[in-house]
Amino acid sequence: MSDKVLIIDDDAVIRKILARMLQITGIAKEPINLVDGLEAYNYLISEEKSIKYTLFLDINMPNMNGWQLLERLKSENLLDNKLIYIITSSVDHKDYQKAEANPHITSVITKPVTLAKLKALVTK
Amino acid sequence: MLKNYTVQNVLNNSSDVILFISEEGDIIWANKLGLELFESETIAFTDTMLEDDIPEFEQLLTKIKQPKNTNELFSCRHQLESGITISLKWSLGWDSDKRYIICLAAGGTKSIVEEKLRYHYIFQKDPSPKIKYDSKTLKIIDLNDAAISVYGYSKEEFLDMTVKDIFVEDSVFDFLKGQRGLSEKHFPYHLGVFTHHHKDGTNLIMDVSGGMSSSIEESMMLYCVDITESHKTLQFERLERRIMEQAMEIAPDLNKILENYVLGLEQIFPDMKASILSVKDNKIYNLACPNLPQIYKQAIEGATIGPKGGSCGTAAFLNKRVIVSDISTDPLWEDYKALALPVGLAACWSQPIFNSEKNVIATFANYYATPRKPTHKELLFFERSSSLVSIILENYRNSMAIRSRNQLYKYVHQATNDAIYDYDFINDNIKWGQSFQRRFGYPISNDIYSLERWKKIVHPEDLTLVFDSLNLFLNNSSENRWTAQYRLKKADSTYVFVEAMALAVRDSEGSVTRIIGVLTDISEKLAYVKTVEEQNTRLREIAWDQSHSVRVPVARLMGLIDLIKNGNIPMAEKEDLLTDVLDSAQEVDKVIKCISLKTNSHKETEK
Repeated sequence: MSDKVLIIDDDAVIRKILARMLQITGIAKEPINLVDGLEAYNYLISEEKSIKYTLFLDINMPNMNGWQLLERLKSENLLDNKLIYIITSSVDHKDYQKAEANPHITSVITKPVTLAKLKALVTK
Repeated sequence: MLKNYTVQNVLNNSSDVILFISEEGDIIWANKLGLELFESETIAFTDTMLEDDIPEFEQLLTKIKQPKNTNELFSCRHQLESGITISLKWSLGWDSDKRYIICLAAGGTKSIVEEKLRYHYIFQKDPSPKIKYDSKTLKIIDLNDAAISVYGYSKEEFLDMTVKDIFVEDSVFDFLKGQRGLSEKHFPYHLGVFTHHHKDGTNLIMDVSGGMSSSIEESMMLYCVDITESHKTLQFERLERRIMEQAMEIAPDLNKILENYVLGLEQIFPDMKASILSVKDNKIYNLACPNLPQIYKQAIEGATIGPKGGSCGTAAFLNKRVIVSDISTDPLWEDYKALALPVGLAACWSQPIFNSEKNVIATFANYYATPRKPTHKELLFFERSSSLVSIILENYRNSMAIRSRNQLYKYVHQATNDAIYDYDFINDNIKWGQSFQRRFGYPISNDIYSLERWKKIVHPEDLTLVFDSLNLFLNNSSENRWTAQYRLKKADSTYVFVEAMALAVRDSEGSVTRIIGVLTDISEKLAYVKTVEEQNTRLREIAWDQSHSVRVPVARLMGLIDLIKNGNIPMAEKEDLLTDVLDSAQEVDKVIKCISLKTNSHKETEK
């Protein structure tokens, strides 16, 4: 898989669950937890551009939400080498339509995040 | 008799009557005028005299033959063949040789006779009744042929009557009052229209004039003109006019009008009783027959029409006029004559009345107490009466329909809050319904309300758009409906949103002649819709917020449970995760309480 796996979510419990599940499923031994889009952006621009990332990105977050982060990364050509999973509890179908229309998003995982859903990613 | 031809010729052509009379009193020769007067030479001279005058003449016959007494004067009255009486003064002379009496009527006998004859013919042969009566005793002393013919009394019967006897009781006083001044009238003086008795018991309407009689002193002459028929026609026409006026009233009382008509007809034709029956579901019902016997009316109420249904039932059944001149013998009355004859109904003529769809809706009938066929004149009156009844009934039906539509229109105006208008496009005049005042505060008046006036109450910002749309509609002959929404200024100068809906009436060329429509105040509706839309937006936001708020901890819970259950993790870690489970469950509870609070707060706002 990627060199680094980022969990970007403002919900600490979700970050905790997802990190543990990623370990159990073998997706990431030590995923990096980031609390919102802004922290993620700052992290990414500080790292080497050549590193491959897998992002588990929440949409609704303070400071910079998921969509804003993607826009920012796109505008700065930072989307290369990045596998992006949207994790969301949104029930707004517009969010799903928007995600489908974005070629940089691999898929949308609707919360709750479960071991079965993550295992399915590995299988793919 | 006369040998001298010249003398004979002179006597023969004399303007005086000259007769030669034998000793016995027979006329043995008469000149031309004598022959004309007495019409025969061979009759006895006394035969021409009134009886009272004969004794004096017979005395003279003896006296004149005495010596030295050859000439006598004598006046007497002669009853001529024509029936007239003349008074003549005779000069008598005795010819003792020839033994006859020469009689000469002195003083222009010819002119007297001619005048007398002229008077006689004017009086006797006049086509209008003339009645001569004594001014003191009022006894009838002479009358002409027309009086006998018109009144039905013989001359002898007349001569036994006073002039009062020919007047009906109600007229006598007016006549006596009027005739008092007649002794001063040398020419016929109009006394008025009076009702006279006919011998057969019916009444005659006579236009009466009177004056002094020229022949006998202290006698008066009545000049009567029989106007019975023309009077009836006049009364009939007056009745028709009166009834039509009643029928044209805004809310006519049908029963009263028909009853008035029947009573009016019965007054004009006193020997007739009229009846109007309605026909419904093949049955007849009394509609207006005020003077038919009650027992008879009860008996025929609801009777079924048919081929032997009396006059009315048969007329309604056959759709044609039925004239029964004798109820006692006519087969059409076989089943009903036992009802009619005992109450004095002997003849009945009936005419069916049709509506505009040619269905029989009523019958009009005339009843008589004696068997009777209609005269030509009576038939004309009968047909005309039936026609009027038909017009009254049809008019009533139409006026009821119009009244009902007017009431509906009135109630719609009262019931609706929409301002109904009727725009006479040709005369540029809008008529507003009552709700225009109620809704927008403008008083309703009969003044012209032009389109320009309407424009003044449309909001200036909406004016162009609205009237461009209206003009487009007016010029599109295939379009009949128009709607527009705009702001309208009320009488209190505030604006309301209105929706105008209109239906155009166009002529054969597609030009608008009339526009009928409604103005609806939609301000409240618009405000309501706006409120609802705002509430919906708010509710959507609430729903969205709440669903998201709930989903977040629920999704977290489900993730935690999945990890605990399927993650194969150490017990100590599970216990740590259970703490998170509890926290998330508490968060769910908190969110639900918050939703409940917000929903209640929304309800309060609605109130």
